[in-house]
Amino acid sequence: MKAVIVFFISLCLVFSQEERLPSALPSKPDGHIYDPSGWLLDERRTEIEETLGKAERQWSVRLFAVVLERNPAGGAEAYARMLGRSWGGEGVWGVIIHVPGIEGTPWCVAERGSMVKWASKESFDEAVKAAMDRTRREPAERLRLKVACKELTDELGFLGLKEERIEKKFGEAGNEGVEKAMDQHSNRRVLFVGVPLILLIGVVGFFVLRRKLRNRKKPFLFPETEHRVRFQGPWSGGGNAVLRFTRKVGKDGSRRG
Amino acid sequence: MEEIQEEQIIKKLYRAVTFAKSSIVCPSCFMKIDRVVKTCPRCQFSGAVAIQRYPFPAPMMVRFMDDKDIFDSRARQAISNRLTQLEERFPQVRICFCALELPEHVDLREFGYWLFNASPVEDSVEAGKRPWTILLLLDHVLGRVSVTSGYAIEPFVRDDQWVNCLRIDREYFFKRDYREAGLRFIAGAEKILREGANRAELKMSGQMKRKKRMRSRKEKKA
Repeated sequence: MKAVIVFFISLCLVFSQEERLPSALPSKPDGHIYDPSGWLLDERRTEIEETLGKAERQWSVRLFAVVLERNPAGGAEAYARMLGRSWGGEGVWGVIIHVPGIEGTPWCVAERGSMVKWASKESFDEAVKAAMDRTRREPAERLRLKVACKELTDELGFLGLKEERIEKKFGEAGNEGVEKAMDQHSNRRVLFVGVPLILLIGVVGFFVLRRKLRNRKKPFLFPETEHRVRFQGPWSGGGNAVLRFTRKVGKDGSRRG
Repeated sequence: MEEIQEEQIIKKLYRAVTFAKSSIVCPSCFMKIDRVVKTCPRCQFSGAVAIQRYPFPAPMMVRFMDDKDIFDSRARQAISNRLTQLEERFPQVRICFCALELPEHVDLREFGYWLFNASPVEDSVEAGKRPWTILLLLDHVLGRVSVTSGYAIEPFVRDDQWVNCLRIDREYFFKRDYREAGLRFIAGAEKILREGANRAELKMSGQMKRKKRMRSRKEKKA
């Protein structure tokens, strides 16, 4: 009997706890900040918006800064997770909840989402933890949310950058691979076409050269012709090929010709 | 000078003009003549006139006509070896070297003509070789050199080619390096002969083709 009573009491407690969680989550804000009470100053709001916008633009990391008047009943982290899953979609997201005046604020929950392959869960969680640790070192409470946003953006941005580089590297490697494969293919083509061509040219050249050399060495017989017998010369009509290879020197030593 | 009977002349296959490139020049007055003549129309030069001008016996046409050993034994050996190579390629052709000393008024071309024709032909071998002879005449005292070629080789060579060849060798003649000059002359002669041979081959193949074409046309008509 006692056990039944304990069961019902615990069941009621669970239901009562569930009831304490907000039944309807607020809709996703236009930007990256949810501050219904207007706690953030305009200037700071702009700064935070810029920082978180940069994270989304550059690395597709959706970060939200949430300012609540009081701590959610189910705990800030549970609430942040619910908000993140609702607003963040399938990619990387993070929600920083700040409750002014509460010790330990802000809290942050971030998830890698299903799309992320690059960073391991450990390194991701480590990055988030490091960001929040640095935030908590900030003594001024009013600046902590800004610092948290900046630190988280930087940490996740670093991971994103790393991923970008890895992707680039893999891409380049892939491209290199493709180029290499293409090179190999063209090399093979050159080999298939070029080598036989060179061999053919070589063989033809060899035969042409051999023929020329043979012809060069082969005795050549000039055809017999009708002699142009002239000036009563039986064997030759003379010629006009003459060359003087020294200059004429006169009796007086002067050179002539 | 010996008179050659018409019957003795080798049977011709081609007309000289088919290959002949050199114009006919009188060896005495060097006038260009456009036809074959017995005497030069200008200076009346002929073989008989040459005999009158040089009334002494001509030496035998041999490889070296050189009483004063202008071509020394080393030069003769080197030139002979090179000539043997040339004769393997052109078996009909013979090159002779004659070194002498002539008075200044005697022109080397005219003397070459006389020597070429007046040199005795004692047998049929010489009679066969003489028209294919190329004679290099060297006046080593006055520093002159000339080339005279026989009727048979004449259609395949040109005087200007010989002059160019001699010009290239001029330096060696001038230095009295007759060994090198002779060797270089033979190399130049080989080049000239090769050109002549190529030209002759082309002409002959062209004629053959033309004849074949004519024959086939005639056969078709028949």
